[in-house]
Amino acid sequence: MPPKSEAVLRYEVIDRCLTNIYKRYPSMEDLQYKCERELKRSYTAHTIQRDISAMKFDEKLGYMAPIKFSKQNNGYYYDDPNYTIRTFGINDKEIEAIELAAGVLQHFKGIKVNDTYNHAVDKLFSALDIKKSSKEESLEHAIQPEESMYMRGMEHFETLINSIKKRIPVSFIHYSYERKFFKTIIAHPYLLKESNKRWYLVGYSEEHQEIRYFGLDRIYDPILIDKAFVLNEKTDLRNLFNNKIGINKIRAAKKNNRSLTEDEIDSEKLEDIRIWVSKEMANYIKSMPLHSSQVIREKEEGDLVIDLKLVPTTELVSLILSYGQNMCVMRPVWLKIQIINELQHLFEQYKQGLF
Amino acid sequence: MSYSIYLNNINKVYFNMKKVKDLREMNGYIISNPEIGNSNENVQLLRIIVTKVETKIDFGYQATDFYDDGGWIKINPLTFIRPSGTNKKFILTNAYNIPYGPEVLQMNSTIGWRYFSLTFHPIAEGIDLIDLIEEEFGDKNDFNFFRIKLNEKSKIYKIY
Repeated sequence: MPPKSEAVLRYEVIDRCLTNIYKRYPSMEDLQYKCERELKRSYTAHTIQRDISAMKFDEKLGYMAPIKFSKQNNGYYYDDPNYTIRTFGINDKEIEAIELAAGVLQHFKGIKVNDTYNHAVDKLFSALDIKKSSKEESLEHAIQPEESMYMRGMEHFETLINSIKKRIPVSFIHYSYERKFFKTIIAHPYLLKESNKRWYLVGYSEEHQEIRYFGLDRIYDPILIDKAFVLNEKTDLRNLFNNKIGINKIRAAKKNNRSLTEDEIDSEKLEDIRIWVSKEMANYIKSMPLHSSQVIREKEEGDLVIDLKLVPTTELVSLILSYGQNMCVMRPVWLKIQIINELQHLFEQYKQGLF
Repeated sequence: MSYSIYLNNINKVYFNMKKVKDLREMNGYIISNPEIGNSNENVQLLRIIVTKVETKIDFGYQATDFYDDGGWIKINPLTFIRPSGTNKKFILTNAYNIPYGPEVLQMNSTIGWRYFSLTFHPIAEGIDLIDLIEEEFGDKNDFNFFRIKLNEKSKIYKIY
């Protein structure tokens, strides 16, 4: 950032005087004295008068400050009590860009990321509102991302980020929805990952002696502990999720209904997956691929065959099922059978009129 | 314990609401998954946090299909911990996420679970084994744990 000119520094001093609620209506002498004291230089009343004029009328400067003089109080004041120049290091286009970005920030405001986050977003919005008061339209609703709901465990976000940043291991209680069992975990956290609107802590688990993912909603009472941090040296964390849609591996035991070794269950094996896509859905899949590995073969009738190379996950199964009759797995056979079984169970439930 | 103290204990509970004190300021240590002389069918004793201010014990409760609706849980306000083999009592000071009896927390379903914590007066230094007693001479439904090991070095971690 280039250094501020002396004039800008004076504008800021004048602005602080005009927004000082403890000493309203500063006189010319007050402004002159404050500038001299803060900037350690002497200024004439004429200079301060010129500054006030520039703040009021200089379009290039862009403040258009509503500065008025009160005869009754023999001092200056802002006609708009909310006005300040402190938000204006940026021009209109930049304000618009920030407004758009702030809209996205606002989207996350309900989620308790940390104690200062909501406050910072509020501050940014109120600062923008000051500028926006002179505008006709607001861009606040120009971006509407999908709504993020509060997820249990988000209150641990700050503690876990601290643990990652400072490389401090953490002790917490974890509840497994699948196994219906609590475990005391000592983890060495590496990152927080969002998948399908859920947040996961990714780190080395002493209990499991490998990198594991822990849903924040299943974490209780994380406490930072004084212990040497186990650095990750083996796994490429930046590409850890590149080979997956989502995060939750399909339990290998389900793959072919046989007992498997722990190694097999935990393997991150890449699979060649072939999927048929109906012509009705073809354009959607072409414009937004299911995964970066997607290779498309278009058939004469307009339907598609797509090939993916990834680690199968429960999120992939959900995604395929979400397309209903417009998407069918062609291979691997175990995945095809799994989806058929899923659909058969669903069909039975509807057929029996249980719900 | 007198009835007035019992009521006083009940009043202390801000069930599921009260924030646990900031443990980092307490210069304590944790015992992760301590070894216990007995087991309890539905309740897991998961972690003990020992500080100069209090002794906090974390539990996990998993409902079973013994009851159609998963049953209920509560904690006796007279629950205490004691060094194993002694009569010295460290009394319960607070319960988090579990109500004091006679109030109960209904599980609603057989897959319900609950993470809860109990805090006690701080235990003295040099105690290696403790018992946690909800009911003296109680049955399997009571949260009684005996000979909880506090000195297993591999399970002890200083709080940062």
